[in-house]
Amino acid sequence: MRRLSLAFVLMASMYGSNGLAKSSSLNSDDILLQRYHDLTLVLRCPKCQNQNIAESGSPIAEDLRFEINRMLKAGKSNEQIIDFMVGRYGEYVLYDPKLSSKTLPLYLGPVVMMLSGCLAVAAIVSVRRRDRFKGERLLSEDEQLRLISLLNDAAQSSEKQS
Amino acid sequence: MKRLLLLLPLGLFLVLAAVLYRGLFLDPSRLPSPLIGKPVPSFLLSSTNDSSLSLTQDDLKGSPALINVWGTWCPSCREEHAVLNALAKQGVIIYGINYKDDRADAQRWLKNLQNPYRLTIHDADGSLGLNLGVYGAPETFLIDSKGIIRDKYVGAIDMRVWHEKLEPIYHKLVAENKQ
Repeated sequence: MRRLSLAFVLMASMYGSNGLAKSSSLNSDDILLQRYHDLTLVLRCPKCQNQNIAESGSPIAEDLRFEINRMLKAGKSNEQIIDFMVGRYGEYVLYDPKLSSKTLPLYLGPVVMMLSGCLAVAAIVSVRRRDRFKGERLLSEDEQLRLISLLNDAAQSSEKQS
Repeated sequence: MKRLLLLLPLGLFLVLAAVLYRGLFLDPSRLPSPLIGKPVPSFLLSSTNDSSLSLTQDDLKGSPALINVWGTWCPSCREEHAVLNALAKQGVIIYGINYKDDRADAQRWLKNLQNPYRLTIHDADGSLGLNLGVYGAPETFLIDSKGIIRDKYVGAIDMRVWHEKLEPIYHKLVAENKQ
């Protein structure tokens, strides 16, 4: 009886571990598949530019997909696979280039340009505001009256003409 | 000072125009190879003409040379082949990588169109090509006598490309080797 129950326990544990291994390998397959999809989407095809290697039908993209599949199955991390590709085809293969001294102008350029544009607009506005303030004092009271009467005369004469 | 400030937009415009003008003449399909300055990747492959002869990266060392990646399936390789024959006659050392090709086809090609290659590496599955970052034949690498990759050209070499781009570097490498 004892022996039988031991056998039963062993069998159950074997079955259990087997089942567990199966389900965990299924899960890891799903994870690998997901990682495969993610990687082929972020890597750019060196031959047919502006397509990633998931979309491209060129032979090189096919080779690279095959290589990613092989490396994933060999247990390589995403970083290792990306480094592998960059080491052979250059930074070009990354749709999202790393921040480096070379790419810094690309990342910071627009921000710098926008800030300098804002500064220029602010400077122009403040200068104009100051000038307008000055302008109010350019005419004396007499001159201001004369200006108004001149404008009125002009308006009347143009009314008569029409 | 104020006048100078007025000239600033013109200055900025001229700088931008110069950058963009230069951009008109850049070829976006020419990718800089990250392998320049690095040794030829290690490999163990057979010779195209003799499957019992195995070749490694050490077989490419000794003198500056061109490494030409080609295949019988590649139409522009056929045009390039005549140029390579002419260069080989001038004494330029050229190694071939027969990339993703059928051995019998490649042997026939070398028999019918002459063989400019000192050695031809048979890279049937494209593993060496992958390690070299090859993305389409023909591609040509320039190596120095120590087997370090010094330059790369993508596309078929014609005499103009050879004289303008590759020959000066090749002669520089030969001169380096003599010192």
